[in-house]
Amino acid sequence: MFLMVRNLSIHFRKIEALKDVSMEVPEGIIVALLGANGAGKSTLFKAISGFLKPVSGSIWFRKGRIDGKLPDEILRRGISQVLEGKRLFRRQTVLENLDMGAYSRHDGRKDITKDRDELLERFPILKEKAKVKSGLLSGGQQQILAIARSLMAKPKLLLMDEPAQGLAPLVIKEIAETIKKLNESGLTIMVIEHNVRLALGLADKVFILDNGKLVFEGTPASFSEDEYTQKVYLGG
Amino acid sequence: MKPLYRFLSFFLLIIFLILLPQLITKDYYIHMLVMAGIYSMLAQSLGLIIGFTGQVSLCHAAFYGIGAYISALLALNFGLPFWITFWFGGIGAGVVAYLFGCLVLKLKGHFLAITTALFGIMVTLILDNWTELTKGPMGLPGIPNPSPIQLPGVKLQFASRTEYYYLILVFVLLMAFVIYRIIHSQIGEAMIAIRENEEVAQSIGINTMRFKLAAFSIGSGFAGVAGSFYAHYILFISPISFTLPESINILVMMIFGGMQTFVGPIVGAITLTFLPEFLRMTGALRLTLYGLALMLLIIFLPSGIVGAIKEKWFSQYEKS
Repeated sequence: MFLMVRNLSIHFRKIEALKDVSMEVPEGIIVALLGANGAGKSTLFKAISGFLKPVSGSIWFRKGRIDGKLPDEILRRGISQVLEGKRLFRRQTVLENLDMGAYSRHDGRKDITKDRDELLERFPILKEKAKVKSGLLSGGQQQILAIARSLMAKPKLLLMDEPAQGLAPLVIKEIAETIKKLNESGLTIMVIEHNVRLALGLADKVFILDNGKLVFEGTPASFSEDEYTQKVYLGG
Repeated sequence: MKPLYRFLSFFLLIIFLILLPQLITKDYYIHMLVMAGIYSMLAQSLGLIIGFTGQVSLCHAAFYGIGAYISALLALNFGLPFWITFWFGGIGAGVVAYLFGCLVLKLKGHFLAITTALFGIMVTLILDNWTELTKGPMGLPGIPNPSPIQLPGVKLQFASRTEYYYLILVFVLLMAFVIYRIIHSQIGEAMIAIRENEEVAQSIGINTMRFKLAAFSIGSGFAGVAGSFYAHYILFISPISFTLPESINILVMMIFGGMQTFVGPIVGAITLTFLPEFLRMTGALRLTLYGLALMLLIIFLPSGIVGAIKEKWFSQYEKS
């Protein structure tokens, strides 16, 4: 299995943020992670990318165990994360941000520049604003830059924490298109999303967390048939 | 600035610094230059920790003191010359900073500031109370001068302040070279990324703790070397020279010059070593005016003198 989470529990002092969560993610799909605020979605992402150590359970990625490893090692194994809230180096230019995205790579400058130029071709707006400080970009442009910067690490799995947060509907559509295209190019993507319609439109597989527990796992088609999702998301 | 102009201006600056003692007649001003050199080392090494890596440290004077005491004790008890003791002073301060950093560099912002300030106070208390070793507030007198060294064509005896001036000049230039190489390398990129946003830095694969520790240990190590030089220059040390107000003094120098720039802390250190002297003509108002000048500068030029010049330069460059 590409990514496997086994009986994962994470506590913040007395609060159980994740309770015995298990899930499997096959390669090459888009996974949507849904749930209310505080359900444990970001906590799960942080555990996968090494920002948090689990109390119990394990995380396996491409047959290697990764729980408890540091974020830089997990990134080198192929998991990159787009943090919530378009986090960039705001005083650095678009190009500098992209270059920093390749920090974990050990191949030569030439390969990194080639990949950066390919990304600039793929995202023309970044090429246009290449020398602009990233803090001066619009919200949508910043999100595209945040995505492009994580691609510079050449990940196999991309974790995106609320990529549509705070963006205008038209921009959200653009971001969704970008996510689809990235997936078509072979990248496995996990997305945390509050917008259920957007998540169902994008995803091949959906997981729902509630109060730290995994309460639903299925396809977008099975989403409307499930008793829990009908009650909570569809008002049934 | 084009590389040729940059090289030429650097070359001229070095010539000027070499000739400077010949232009000064009063021995006291040479002493001020030596002190400006020591503070330049302290402010620039603190700049690596705070300015470039974003880790607030209020205990720089403690590492300055640790270097001074290690060096002085080795010279007084074992008869080791300065040329050996300053290595121990620098490395000793760096090792203590590393161990302390492992404990506290997980903290951020004001928590880190308070903890480092308390560490500084603790070091002063130890120096004050471990009287068997440090002689407490009485201090350590009789620290020897650096032993004479024979350089091609000239023998430095360290009998006059001018010779100390040349020695501190070499120390400052060597430290500046090392710090320049660090901040213009991939290590420096990682440190700046941590300063800008630690969580993003981690997300792009930077082991933030490793680089924070590196900056803290290297910066504090240089403070230790400065302390070692101070001990063998003043020839007497006591805990009063390495207290929290001294850490704040170094911090102010760094901010005054421009903490996120390479030369800013040196400019700040030189300016603020000489400014109180120039204000002597104002008599009793001297310290009040000094405080006022600092407050006004920090309010109106928060990025410091060199930082403000750079911003002005870049805004003109972007307009043209």
